[in-house]
Amino acid sequence: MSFLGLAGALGTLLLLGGGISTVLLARKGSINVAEWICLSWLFGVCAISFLLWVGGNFLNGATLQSLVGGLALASAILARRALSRVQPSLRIPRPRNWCEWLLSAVLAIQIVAIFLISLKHTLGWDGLFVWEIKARYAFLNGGVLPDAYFQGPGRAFSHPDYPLAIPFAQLWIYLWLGEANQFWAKSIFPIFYGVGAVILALLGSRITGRRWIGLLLAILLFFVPQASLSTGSAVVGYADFPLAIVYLAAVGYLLASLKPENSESAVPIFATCLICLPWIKNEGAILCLVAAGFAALLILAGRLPRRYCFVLVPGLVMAIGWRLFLRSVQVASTVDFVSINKESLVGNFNRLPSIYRVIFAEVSALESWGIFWLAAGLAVLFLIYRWRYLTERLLALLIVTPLVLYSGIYVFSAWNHYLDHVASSVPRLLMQLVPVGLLGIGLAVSEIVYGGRRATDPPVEAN
Amino acid sequence: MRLLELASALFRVREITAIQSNEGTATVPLTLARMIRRVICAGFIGLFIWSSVPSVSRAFAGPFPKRIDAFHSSDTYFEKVTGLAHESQRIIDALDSLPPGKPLLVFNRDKDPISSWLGMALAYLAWPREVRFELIEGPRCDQQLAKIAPDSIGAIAFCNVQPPRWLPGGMSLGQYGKLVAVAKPAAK
Repeated sequence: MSFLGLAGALGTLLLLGGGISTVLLARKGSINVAEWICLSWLFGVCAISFLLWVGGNFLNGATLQSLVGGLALASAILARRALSRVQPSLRIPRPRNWCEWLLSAVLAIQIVAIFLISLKHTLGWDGLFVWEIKARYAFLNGGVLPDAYFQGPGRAFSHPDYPLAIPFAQLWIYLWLGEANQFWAKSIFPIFYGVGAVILALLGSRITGRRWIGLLLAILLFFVPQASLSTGSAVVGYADFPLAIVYLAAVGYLLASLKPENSESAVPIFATCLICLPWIKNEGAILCLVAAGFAALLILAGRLPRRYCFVLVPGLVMAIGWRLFLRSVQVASTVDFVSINKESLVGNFNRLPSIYRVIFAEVSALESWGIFWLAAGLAVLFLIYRWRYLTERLLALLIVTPLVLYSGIYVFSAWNHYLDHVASSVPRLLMQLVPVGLLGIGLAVSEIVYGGRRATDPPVEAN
Repeated sequence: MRLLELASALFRVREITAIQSNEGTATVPLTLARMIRRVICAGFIGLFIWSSVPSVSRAFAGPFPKRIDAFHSSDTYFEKVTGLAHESQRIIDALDSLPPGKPLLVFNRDKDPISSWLGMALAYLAWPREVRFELIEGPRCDQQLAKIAPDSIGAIAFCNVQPPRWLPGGMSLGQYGKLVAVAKPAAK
């Protein structure tokens, strides 16, 4: 019965996401099936949780579940119609030589391993007390998080101010299972890993022009323990890994949109990722702002058509809308940061050296990161060295800017021992940048291995 | 205007982006310099994998769960902390038997991870009952407890805090805690 319920929940989630991604991908003329499935999952999680939240303001229980399920079905029907109208060709990306076969096989084994390992692990501390708790309480209250949860100081430890994409995806599973079940709540996270690894392979292949590099990057993701297997990783139920994957998709499609023939299909996917970012975690609003900010600069500089200005708006509306909602329910939350103003900046500016010392100690911890940050640092330096190329420049900025903002935010920490604040949360913040960092590594490796610009690149003029 | 200047400075480059399709690759002749670069990259990738092997292999350790349990995670944590199995449902049952309107009072020790975890776990399971936390320094809470009107609360949880001697009974949470019902059980 549990398996049937789980299949129903995941199936309807994919129907809804599939509808959205079909509409977005059908513009391309041909659809890569792997890309289609991955985007269906990412957008399905965000859309189903958003519909549950919005619908929960008016309905509850079986009525709410039926409405959201009906919308998922309607979305699939609309997508079917769009497909029959546009009639794009469906492409299954098959390995083309022994190297790609080998790398694909290793990647498949890793994804299976993540599924098996996630069975062994429990939900992590935050996975249980920050994320699953919301799904559980909403389920016990007929699918709706009551105002009492947001307002009660007794549960402020669970960060009621955090957005609901992940917990309400778990809630969707609970509604189908008919019970709150911590074991099945974990099931979405290895799927996120699989989806993330495949998206990394796809985007890595496109950006470097070499499929083996894309596959290699996806394999290397497994060897960043903090992202794949350690505390706070993909297997313990934290929102940071899903956020990292959506940020990767946003960055990847923004880079893809720089090629004029791709922009028509890539920009709407980028915009949809922007909407998802602040809906997954509060830090997603920062990542959304960074990605939207650089997209706006690209538009201003004439690198993207001006008609795309409007696509930056929905993501920001989502971020602001969630804050307004929290204000309307008078959320009780732990105060982790003082207000950001000139006085607190000047007063606490001297914290920066200590903050960077803690961050340096963190990134050099082999047990958590291996040599990922060393490699990412060198890759970023290489991308900066290749500053005159737009892709390299943009990717370097999209890696470094969130890093600077994340480390700078601790200047405003309200904790008495602010370095404890840094030490306890910075591993998760850094993890959000791992897939994008790997993309940077891939681009650098591609250019080093193949000796500078690829043969198909257009002639280059300096600034 | 400044934004426009910034955008121009950052992104007004003449060349077209390097994005290309998978089909757009070309064969590059292999020179000695390129070969050295490839060896360095291969070495770096090898080092990347080798540096994480100990952490990755550790993740494979441990048994698979024997059965699928609705409280899979909280029960596992409780068992680690208190040594007691299947505690989650027992705690829910104990709290459900109390009058619904009365909050759970949790005594937490400052800077004590076990106490903190136990308090949060009890709050997690106590829903929809209101929860109040009292943070104390040191192992005893007699003074704080004396200030509380007994009829204002449903139960008291002592998380790595010694309960006062004059408050007997309660449900043991292993060596680190105790849950004491203060209100009389609600009539069924």
